[in-house]
Amino acid sequence: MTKIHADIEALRGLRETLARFRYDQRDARYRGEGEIEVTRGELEARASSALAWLERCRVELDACREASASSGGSGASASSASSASSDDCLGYERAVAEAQERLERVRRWQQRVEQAASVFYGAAMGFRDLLENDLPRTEEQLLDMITSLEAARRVQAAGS
Amino acid sequence: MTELRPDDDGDYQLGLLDAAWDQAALHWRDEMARDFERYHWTPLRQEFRSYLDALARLREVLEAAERETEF
Repeated sequence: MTKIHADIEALRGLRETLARFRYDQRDARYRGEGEIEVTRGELEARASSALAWLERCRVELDACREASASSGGSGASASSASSASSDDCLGYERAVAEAQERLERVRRWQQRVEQAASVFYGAAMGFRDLLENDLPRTEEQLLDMITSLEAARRVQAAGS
Repeated sequence: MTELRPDDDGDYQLGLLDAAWDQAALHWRDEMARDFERYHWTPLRQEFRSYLDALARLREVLEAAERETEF
């Protein structure tokens, strides 16, 4: 390659790199989408599971309270019955609180995932727009410049 | 061959773009080159960088979501 054509070769190389880049990135908008769907599905399954567990815990707590209330009515004084009731069901109450916390945590993460997905989609759309509209125009412009330079060199060569 | 994560691969792609631009800039230094850099090259690089950053942040959140809700 002679020095006089180095600029043309460099522009050609740049244009080829851009075209290859556009091709390699053609699925860019789909990146992340599959992973978002997997995580959404996983979190939904975990939320369902946490909700089911919470409902079970509530049923058990209700049953405990009913049982405590029944046994409390069979002779013990009102205050000692009440104390026995809360002591007996303390474990169930803790289980309900823990199940609620799990469910709320999953719900919070579901919201965070949706926020992150929304931000990502915005960036991906901007990039897609650049790939589909701006980059082809840029490549065209480079091609025009290369063609002009080649034509000018041919004129120079013919005139020398 | 180990498949690159898209964000890692993106950094590699960015390196390829930079190398191609550096090579072109060695020989192309007129006003048109400066316009090209300002109106085409820099926006392309910035848009791609933003996309890669958003992808990396998304991945962090997805991984944290899976980790933090594992009971």
